[in-house]
Amino acid sequence: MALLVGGQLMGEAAVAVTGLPVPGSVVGMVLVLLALLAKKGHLPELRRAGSTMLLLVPLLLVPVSVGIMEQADLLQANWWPLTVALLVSIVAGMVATGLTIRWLRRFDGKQAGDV
Amino acid sequence: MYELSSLWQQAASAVLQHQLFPLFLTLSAYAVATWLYRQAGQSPFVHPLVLSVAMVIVALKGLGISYAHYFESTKFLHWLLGLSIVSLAIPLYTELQHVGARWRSTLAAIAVGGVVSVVTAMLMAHWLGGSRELVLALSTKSVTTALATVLAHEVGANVALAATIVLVTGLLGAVVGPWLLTRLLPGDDAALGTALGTCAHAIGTSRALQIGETCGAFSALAMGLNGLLTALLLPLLLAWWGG
Repeated sequence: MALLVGGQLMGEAAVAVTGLPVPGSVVGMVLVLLALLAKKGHLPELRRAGSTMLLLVPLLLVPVSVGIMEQADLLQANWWPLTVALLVSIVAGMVATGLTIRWLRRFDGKQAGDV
Repeated sequence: MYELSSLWQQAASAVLQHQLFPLFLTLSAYAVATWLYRQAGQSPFVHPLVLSVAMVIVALKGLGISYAHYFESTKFLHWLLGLSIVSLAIPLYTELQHVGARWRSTLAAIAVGGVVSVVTAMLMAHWLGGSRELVLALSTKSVTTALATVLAHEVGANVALAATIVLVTGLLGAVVGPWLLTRLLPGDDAALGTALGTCAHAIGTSRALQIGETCGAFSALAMGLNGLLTALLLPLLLAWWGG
């Protein structure tokens, strides 16, 4: 647990020092990922604490999401562009992902001989 | 009789006005929501977050409690989100071990899919006359909600709106994704997983896990990498957008 908090704090510190436009927790995630790679995943305490944290995520998100009750006007004024934008972008994103894979799969095969 | 009802009122107002009441409300709504989610066979439409948010809003409106007061008392739950983002490193590490030889296509697809979905969403909303606030809130749409709220805060978007957009995106993606991808690349679970994770984050990933282990693993990986990529690219994209 301390490792997780430490990871985030180190991330926050790195952001403060370098002025990166990225949240400290994201830098913390990269740092913890590097630590896991360096230790080849042998960080049982960290893994336990992290799994517990991830199970709680939906609960942690409730306070900020309830804020939508304050946004009724904004949603009412924008529901049409919002709905279209969401639907179009999901289909576009999925098709783009799928097509990229379809196009690149053969290179995977040549490189590694499996798939 | 009069005495009793005034005592009752006193007790009720002591509970309702207590600092801990919003926390109690949140925890009980969440407990009920998780229970209902399990009863409904974990269908994405009764996602515990959607249900608990709906219950909390109804309760706050009914009891006349302001959102500002509610958030003030439940803020520490919100602070812990940062730690859950750091924790994402763990599934990311695990899934990285599984990509193996397909890493080229997977990585490229995540990058292309992630950028395409964000840019099309922002352009569509802009063309259809959506407000700047809406366009900005769409910029974090395909990363997992925890990360989206932090990023939205970072880029100055409306955080609650961004969180709602993320949820709706996840739900739609979990429904549309499998239908679309089984037509585009039949029988390719890894591709389906990658698309679900890139475009529908955690909700898509839980759908992917129902489809199969490979699908779930690729989805978790795609969700993690797309989140990381969005966090790194978004400030650049918005700088360009803002002119």
